[in-house]
Amino acid sequence: MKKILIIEDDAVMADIYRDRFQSEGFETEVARDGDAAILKLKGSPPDLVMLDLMLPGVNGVEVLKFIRAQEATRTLPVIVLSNAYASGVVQAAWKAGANKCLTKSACGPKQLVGEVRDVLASTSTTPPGPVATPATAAASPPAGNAPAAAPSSGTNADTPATDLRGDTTSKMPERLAELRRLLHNLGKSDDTTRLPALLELYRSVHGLAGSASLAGLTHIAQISCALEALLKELHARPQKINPSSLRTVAQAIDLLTPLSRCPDAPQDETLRAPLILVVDDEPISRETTCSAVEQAHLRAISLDDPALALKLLEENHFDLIFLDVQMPGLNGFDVCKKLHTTAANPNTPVVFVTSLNDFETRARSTLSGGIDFIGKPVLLIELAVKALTHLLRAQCKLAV
Amino acid sequence: MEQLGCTGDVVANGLEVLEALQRVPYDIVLLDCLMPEMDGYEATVKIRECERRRAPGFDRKQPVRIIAMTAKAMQGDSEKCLAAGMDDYVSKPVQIADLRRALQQWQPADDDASDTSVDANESPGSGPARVGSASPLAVPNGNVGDTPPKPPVDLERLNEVTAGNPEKARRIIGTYLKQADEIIRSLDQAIQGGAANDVRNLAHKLGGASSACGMVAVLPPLAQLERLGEAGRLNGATEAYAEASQQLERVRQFLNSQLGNLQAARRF
Repeated sequence: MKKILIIEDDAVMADIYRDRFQSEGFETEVARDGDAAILKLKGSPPDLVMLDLMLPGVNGVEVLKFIRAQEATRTLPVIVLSNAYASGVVQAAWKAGANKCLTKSACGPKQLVGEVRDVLASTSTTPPGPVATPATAAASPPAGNAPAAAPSSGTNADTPATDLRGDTTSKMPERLAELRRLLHNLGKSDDTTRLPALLELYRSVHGLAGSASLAGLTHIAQISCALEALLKELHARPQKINPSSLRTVAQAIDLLTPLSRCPDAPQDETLRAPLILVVDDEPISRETTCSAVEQAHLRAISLDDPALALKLLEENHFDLIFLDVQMPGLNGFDVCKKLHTTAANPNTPVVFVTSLNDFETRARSTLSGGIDFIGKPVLLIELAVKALTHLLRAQCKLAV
Repeated sequence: MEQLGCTGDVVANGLEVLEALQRVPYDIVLLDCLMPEMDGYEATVKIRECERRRAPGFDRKQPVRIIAMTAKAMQGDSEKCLAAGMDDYVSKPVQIADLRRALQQWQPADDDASDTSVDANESPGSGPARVGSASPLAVPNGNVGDTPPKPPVDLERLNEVTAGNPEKARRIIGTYLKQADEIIRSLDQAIQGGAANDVRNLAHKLGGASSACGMVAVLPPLAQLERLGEAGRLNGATEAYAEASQQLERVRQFLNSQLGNLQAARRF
């Protein structure tokens, strides 16, 4: 029987994985943190490791490096799980010798089992030793095995996912209450308690992101995965904790409650290709904002001329607009006022990109509906969370 | 560490730490907890055991100071480090301020045979401390240090904005430098003409562009110019301007030297 070591700190997630793999005939072991994983790896190495790169309090890439540095585990197959908003971590994991990188939200329990069989099949035919260096394994994902492995998970494979969905949905109010409590704690925290409070929140969001992904709750999975990546970044770089990023975190968490009540989101459909407009006369800031939008897997059109932007907005609907405040000619506030009088964009949410120095005064003075702020220099993952928050809120037809 | 006035050697794992300690009387060991072959906890236990046995190379007056570098800023880790026999710990990614605090706290006493000091500025008479360090060594992040010699560009930020794409990086760098040259010229004219409001706007614009793509070295003089312009008083603006254009040249040279690397890293 093949043994899988699952490194996962969320108890619910660990249970889901364990049950699933055991029912598919695998032996499983769960390690709740990096140190426990290393102890287990030193004891009796498994046949495959499943490692979530977004684990709070564990540097997944370091664990992977450790595995690759040990003689006994140098060629041990490692499947890493990540989320769609953590491309930097995924890059690092490929470099460190992951055999396969899977995106949590795109990979249900059925696919996961298929991928595990795949990797086990392709690595067992490779002679052990330096031939199968992690670099080559990473560079060329094994071809040809996928069709053979996929059907093996059985015809009733969807039943557990449906159960999972019901189960996750019924536990949602509890999860959300916990999140709000932790957010409240973070809000009250001071310099010494901020990081622990942030870590607790991150841990809870990590659990939500994983279980919503597995259960196919697409919209909740999307926003919580992005939020998970933002919290990971803030925890790793506390200097990026500021009024803007904290506000973005709070908004995303606030959205979860209406999202969970929102009449069933289409199951296999993520956001319907929304269109975002970015207006900034300064090319580098404009590129940065666009880059953040792209890294959130969203589409943006960008313009440097506010007057031209208004002309475009008269005729064409956009789902979200990022506006620089200081522009020659028309400033961002003027553009906003005018665009909301157009027939095409009366309610389009507008996010002003403003320097962090001005953030607090501006955010406080302008709390009208459909208007929001984000601090400059833009934290890319924060902008992704911000964009998803507004788009999902609109999609749910929730005027908050 | 060099920024903090220490000299150090780097080894790859816990076993090599033990070997290195036999050869060199280090004052301080910076130890990564997650290491191949022998992890930091295990290495610490071994080191303390050797010291107890007064094994060859481990028979100095003072036990070596061991500072853990842990990837996890978690409660519980600290206890684990201390239980293993470490003296202190810093969280990864290592912030230079934390490292400075830890090194200062554990710098060797003055009467110690290997009389050394961590911060040469504070004890001018003594040489640099010898610090052994086991890799993977966390390099202090360029934008958190508070000592002068840090790279003029935050490459991590630049890489993030360009999504690791060298084509995009080259394009953004080109756009940035062209725009920066224009703004610097206009700034000069604005200062000469006493146009405080223009100084403010130009400095604000270049500051925004620079911070967006990680050109950190130019930020302090630009922030100063923006403040001066805002206040409508241009006293000192010429000096700040000279500093800004000098830092821009540093950025340019650094980027030119990095462009070669970007080409080499084309596979991304």
